[in-house]
Amino acid sequence: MVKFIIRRLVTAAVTIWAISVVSFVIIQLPPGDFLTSYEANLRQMGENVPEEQLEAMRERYGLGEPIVTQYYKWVKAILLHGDFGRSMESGVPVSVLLWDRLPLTVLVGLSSILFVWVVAIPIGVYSATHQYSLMDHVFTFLGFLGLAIPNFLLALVLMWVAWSEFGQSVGGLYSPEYKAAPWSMAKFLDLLSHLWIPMVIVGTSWTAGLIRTMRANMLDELNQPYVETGRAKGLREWRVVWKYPVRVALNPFISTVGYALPQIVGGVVITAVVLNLPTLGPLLVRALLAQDMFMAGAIVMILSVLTVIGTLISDILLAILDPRIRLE
Amino acid sequence: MPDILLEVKDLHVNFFLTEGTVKAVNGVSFKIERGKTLGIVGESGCGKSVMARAILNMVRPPGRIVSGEINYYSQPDSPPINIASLNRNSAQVRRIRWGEIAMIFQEPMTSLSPVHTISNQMIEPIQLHLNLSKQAAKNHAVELLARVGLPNPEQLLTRYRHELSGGMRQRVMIAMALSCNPKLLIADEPTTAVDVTTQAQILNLMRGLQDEFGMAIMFITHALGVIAEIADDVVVMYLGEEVEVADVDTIFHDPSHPYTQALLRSIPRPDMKLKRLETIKGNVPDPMHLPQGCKYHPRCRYYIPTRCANPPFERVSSEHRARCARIHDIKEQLSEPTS
Ligand SMILES: Nc1ncnc2c1ncn2[C@@H]1O[C@H](COP(=O)(O)OP(=O)(O)O)[C@@H](O)[C@H]1O
Ligand SMILES: [Mg+2]
Repeated sequence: MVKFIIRRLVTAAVTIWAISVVSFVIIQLPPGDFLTSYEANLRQMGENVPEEQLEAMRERYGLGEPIVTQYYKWVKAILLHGDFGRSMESGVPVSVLLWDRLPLTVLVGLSSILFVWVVAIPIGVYSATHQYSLMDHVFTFLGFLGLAIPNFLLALVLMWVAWSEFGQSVGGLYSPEYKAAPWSMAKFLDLLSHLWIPMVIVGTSWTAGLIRTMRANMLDELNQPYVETGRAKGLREWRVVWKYPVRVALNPFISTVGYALPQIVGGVVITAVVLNLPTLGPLLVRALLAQDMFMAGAIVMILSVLTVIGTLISDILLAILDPRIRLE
Repeated sequence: MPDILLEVKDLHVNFFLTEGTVKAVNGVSFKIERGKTLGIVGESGCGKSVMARAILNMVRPPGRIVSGEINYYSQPDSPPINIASLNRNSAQVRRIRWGEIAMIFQEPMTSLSPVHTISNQMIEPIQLHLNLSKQAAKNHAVELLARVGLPNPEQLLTRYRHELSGGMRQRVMIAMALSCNPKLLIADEPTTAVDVTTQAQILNLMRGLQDEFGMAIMFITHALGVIAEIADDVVVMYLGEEVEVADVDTIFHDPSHPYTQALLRSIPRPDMKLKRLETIKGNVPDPMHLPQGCKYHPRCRYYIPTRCANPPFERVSSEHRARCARIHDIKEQLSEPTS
């Protein structure tokens, strides 16, 4: 087990390194170096850039030096100081913008996964154990409906419902009065009352697929002899179902934890824009539109690292839960 | 008076499918005596497994026990419990499962859970039926594993099924099945998926355990040869019906039904090395479209259209019955010297 985890950790480290190279290439892609565009940007806004500051930045990023040195300096700044460079668009350090949004992105992502699991797993189990029953058909229908309705439309509908029925301020994750407020219980509750909309929207499109997966996995497992054994032992039916086939059918789900986050960030950009969510998605879109390469590179890098960490977590979870995996 | 443990009376189990109804068990009756072994034999698809599940009331939709009785006599003089009349999920049925009647399956590989330790799976029924503490249940499991001839039982408890060989898995299943001292052990083709050596060992083990624990065994197999080694009485099944019922000596030395005779001729025997083995001609018919009249007639060498329209389940001697209209002609025909 320890050997297995160490091997996975090494693989993850190598992957993250490869990602950093790709991210760096993205930053380097636009013609010219970014200081020229930074300078040009500021000039355009009518600001004057002191020559010393430019010189300091040139030194800091190793511009004009070989590309390997530049890469080395970029990575070193990230690793040692958490310094991702400055956003060219706003001039604010990228890390400040990231730290502002990353926790909320992860929060929306994780709560969506939670929502999806809590909804999809019991429904999938029910549909499989009551195959072709009326409710099985109803769930299938609702699932496909959820799949067919575009997210942004659902977002608009839910916002309208939240506003007209509950009198909630819509958009964003906080009510205006809490936006700048320090963290408190009230702010947290306010956050929760806003969180359900993105949670449901992101969840709905996913849930349908996962219900199908769970149902199919369960149907495969339900007829296995070990389920019969459990039944023959005199266990209650729900205990047989939840202890044996569900446990086995869940394994494929665990591996989805890994790519859930980037999928959510990438997949719901439009929703996030409509909902005005302070997550990474809209930030990435704006960075790409503005050719804000430090910003874009950093977000790509962070999302990829999150994916790698997620995959690592699901691999280890899977190895703990499924003894067959440890064999290889 | 024989001491009856289980009495199945005119049992019917159907599967209601969209394409039609499959009469998987079609009016079977038999008795199992306390401590004895009943062999159930028949080609694959004749309803043996469905019947075994029906005895534990474990047939699930689209299948259902449509009629018949399964009378279980827990004690020699206790009134019977009709298992067929109980609710499939009732506490009463669940108490009988494993506590009174335990079952092992054909596939020792897949009848154990892939993701739970042997310990977890063994302790579960012990705690459920014997109300032992976890530690006491564990000790009991260790004793049982040692009894079925598995080395290092303590260590074995921490293992998963994929870490065991086929023979070991079936031994674990047997140990598990005996853990709550059942009065009846249903063994559904327990030796079909293992090699010949292991098969002999497992049969030996089961005989030894029967002497020690005193449980009755219902031994299901498609191989008549195995029956000779373990059964006291035999039920031969064909397409959901019993075609012949007798004690094991009669079945092997004086069978009445053409199907039993054909099964006997298809057993490999050391003294017949040079002769080619006979196989029964034709295939098992589609269960959705059963033959009219005698179900065996399309494959029977003695078939006469009018005579065989509705074969009675005829008494050959007091404990010997066969479902054939021509029992007596066939006897004569067989005793005539043939060239
Ligand atoms: N779940 C099921 N659904 C539909 N038909 C079934 C099901 N289980 C068994 N059957 C039918 O019942 C018949 C008897 O099957 P089975 O008892 O498994 O045979 P055996 O154990 O003697 O090989 C077969 O024709 C089979 O097609
Ligand atoms: Mg079978």
